Amino acid sequence: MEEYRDLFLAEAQEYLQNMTDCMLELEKDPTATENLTEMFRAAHSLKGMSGTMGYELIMKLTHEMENLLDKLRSGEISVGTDLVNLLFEAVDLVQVMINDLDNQKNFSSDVQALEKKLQGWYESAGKEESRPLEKGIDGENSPEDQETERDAAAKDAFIKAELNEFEKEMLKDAASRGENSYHINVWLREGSLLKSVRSYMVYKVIEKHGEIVKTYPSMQAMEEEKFDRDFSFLLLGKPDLDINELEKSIKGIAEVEKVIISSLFLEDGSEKAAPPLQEAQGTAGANAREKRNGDQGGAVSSQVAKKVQPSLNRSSEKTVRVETAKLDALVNLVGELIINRTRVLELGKQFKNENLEASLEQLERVTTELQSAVMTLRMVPIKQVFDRFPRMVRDLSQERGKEIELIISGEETELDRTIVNQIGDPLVHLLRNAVDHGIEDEEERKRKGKRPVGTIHLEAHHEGSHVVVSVEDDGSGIDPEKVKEKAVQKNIITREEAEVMEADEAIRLIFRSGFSTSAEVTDISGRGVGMDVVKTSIEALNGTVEVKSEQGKGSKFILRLPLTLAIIRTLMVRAGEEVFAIPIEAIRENLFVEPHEIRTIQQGKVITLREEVLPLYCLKEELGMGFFEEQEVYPVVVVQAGEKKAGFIVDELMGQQEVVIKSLSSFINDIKGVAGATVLGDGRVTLILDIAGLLEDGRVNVGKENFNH
Amino acid sequence: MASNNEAVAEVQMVAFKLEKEEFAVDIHQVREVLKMTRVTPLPQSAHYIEGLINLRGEVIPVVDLRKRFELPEGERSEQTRIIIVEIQDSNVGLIVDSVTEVLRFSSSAIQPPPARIAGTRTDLIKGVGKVEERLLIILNLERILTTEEIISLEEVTLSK
Repeated sequence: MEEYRDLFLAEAQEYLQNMTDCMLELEKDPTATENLTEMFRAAHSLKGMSGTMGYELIMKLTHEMENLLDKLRSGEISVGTDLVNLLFEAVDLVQVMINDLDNQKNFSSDVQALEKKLQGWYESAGKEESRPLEKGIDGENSPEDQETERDAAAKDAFIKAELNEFEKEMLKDAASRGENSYHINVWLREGSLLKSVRSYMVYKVIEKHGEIVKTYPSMQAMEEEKFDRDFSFLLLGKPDLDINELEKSIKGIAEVEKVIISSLFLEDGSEKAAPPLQEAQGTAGANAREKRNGDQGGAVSSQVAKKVQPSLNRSSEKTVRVETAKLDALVNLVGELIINRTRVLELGKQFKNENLEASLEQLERVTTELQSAVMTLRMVPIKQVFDRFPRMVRDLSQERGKEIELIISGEETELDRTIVNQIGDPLVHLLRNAVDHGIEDEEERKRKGKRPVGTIHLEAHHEGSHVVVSVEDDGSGIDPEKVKEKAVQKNIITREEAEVMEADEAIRLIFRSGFSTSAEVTDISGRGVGMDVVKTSIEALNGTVEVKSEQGKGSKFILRLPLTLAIIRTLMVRAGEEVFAIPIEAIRENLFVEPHEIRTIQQGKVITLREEVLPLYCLKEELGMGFFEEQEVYPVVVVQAGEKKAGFIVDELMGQQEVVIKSLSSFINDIKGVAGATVLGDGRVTLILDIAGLLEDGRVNVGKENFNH
Repeated sequence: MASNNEAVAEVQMVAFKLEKEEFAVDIHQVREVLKMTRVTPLPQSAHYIEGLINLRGEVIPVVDLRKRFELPEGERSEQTRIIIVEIQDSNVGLIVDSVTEVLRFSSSAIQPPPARIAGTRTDLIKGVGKVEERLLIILNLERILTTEEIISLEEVTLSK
């Protein structure tokens, strides 16, 4: 059982997420019954799975959920917020139990209490008895129950594979194209050996005649000989399929005793098997047994079935689950390989040998491909994070008494797993902020002539080698004057500074540490984390945060994140004796500046670049590794972080290079301005600069205090 | 350290020098000893952090022990060594004037730090090893490298 546990966890997670999604949909539109059906199905599958795995409490709870959903579906009770809350409570409890599978007993009183609540709900609504638990289990995920079911069905001499909605859709589609579907039942001789081989041979024969939609038992069970004497297939026949021919070839296989082929017709999504077309050896009374819960599953609208099934039907042959630690080790090794490649390439150049150069070129190509292939292994859709937000926003807005619609798009956008894992909290904070401070309450919105329902857009998309995630609300926006006022109060800026400050700059004050815009501390946003934490955590990921706000219309927070953390493209520059790597993403352009172009304003150097005044800093001076020296021409790297731009004077531009980021040791506290280190082709260590850190207010001059120590 | 009854137990220590003082570190804690190599300076770190080195692809911080103990900067010589030690699961390099030898102590030859020498901080010393006439101080490296307080050489030696 243990080895199935991970699978169970993964699938249970998916079902819970499905239920959550459907409930949210349902709450919005109570008439959307396809959501109910979908939830029912999810609860049902969960019940089957947990039963099989021996998690009785989860089974009991999901059973009650199923009962309640059944009543909802039949229209005996209607959907309301209270009911959705109750169902959420149940989903939450299941979630908690799944997270702690070893201590199921601890939950028995919780489960009992909730069971009563759920029962209370549907019993007060309808007099009908709930379906007894035993009868309820018939999901495809419960092989044991299928086992008992099979015994009973054996008398019918006809085993019917249970079809899920997806498969039904396939059959319906096929029928509309004029293709016929067939149910093929095969019996082996009593005491037949090598049953799995026989069944495989049958499979191979049938496969030639069309597409096998489903087998009963599953392919895996057949391989493991987990069947008695008979097995069946659901075949989507080729248009020119000759039934007689097919039957003959199946019977040609050794030890096959009997074959029954019947045609399937689908009506309104629930299929009924027609009387067998052919009966080999005349088995009497071989009649199609009605699919027992055909009435339940059949009503599913095709739309929902199509949407949901592919993810649930994830084929186990096509994917492999790998421990993330192994993946990380692989990524590290590839990183080492890239470093060594660079070294070998450099050495190779010295020999000026054509053959050597050709093979080195090949090596470079292959390793580059290997690198990108490995990087994609780490990519996961941002959906993993986004999925929890609809529920969160719903709960929050309910608490705050606001009505808010969360619109999510681009959730399929992929980025590095580490980044996905780390943007959850910042996003939670931004969303909470939008609910709490962004969106006004209904009264106020009406007064302003806005739609009473507030909207929050959560969006993700790729932009070059970045992923941009934005949180936008149509609330009151940020008032720059209020922000200034608060910043002055908190001694973040002086009154004089506030007076000359532009609105854009004022709004960015919210990212300063010690700043919190909330006038009242609520339990939602008043958790001691401010926007500065959001900024810090995004910057730790080599990303940037930007805010745009229009008073009265709303605010938009834009996060720009790198696709991956492990390898970045950099520009190598020399400053004094040291070489530094500047991430390409932060670089806008490179210039050569002549001394007469440099002016001095308030003791700082500036140049005018396309009518924009650009502050200039001497990199080695800023890092405390030397002093500015007069030269005939200065190489300047123009960098940007957020909306801040500056030019760094360096001693030499050394060209681009891809580097593997190595984090600094835990012995060294975070150094603003240094993102990490890397090892160059010649083996020496080079620092990777963190431009956002360097440009942070009052930050330039990083090294001085130290290096003069 | 170890009890006197177990005189048979033997400890191996790597002995090194700073100024005129002799120190020792348990060989289990030492990963390797390198000759002085190129160190990449690290801005905005503690003043005694010399910088970073590359040890077979791994980036390791290096501490100059002279600077750690507020000693005048010493000349780098042929004798200068970097001892790579493992502390709290990370590797750190220590620049020392020289590494003299690997010594075997019977555990009875290691005494707890003397409590009453004025100016000596017993929390920074794990013990004192005695070999013939030599006294070697066994430093509490975890303590010394994870605190930011200023420590002078006097505080980790026995000389008056």
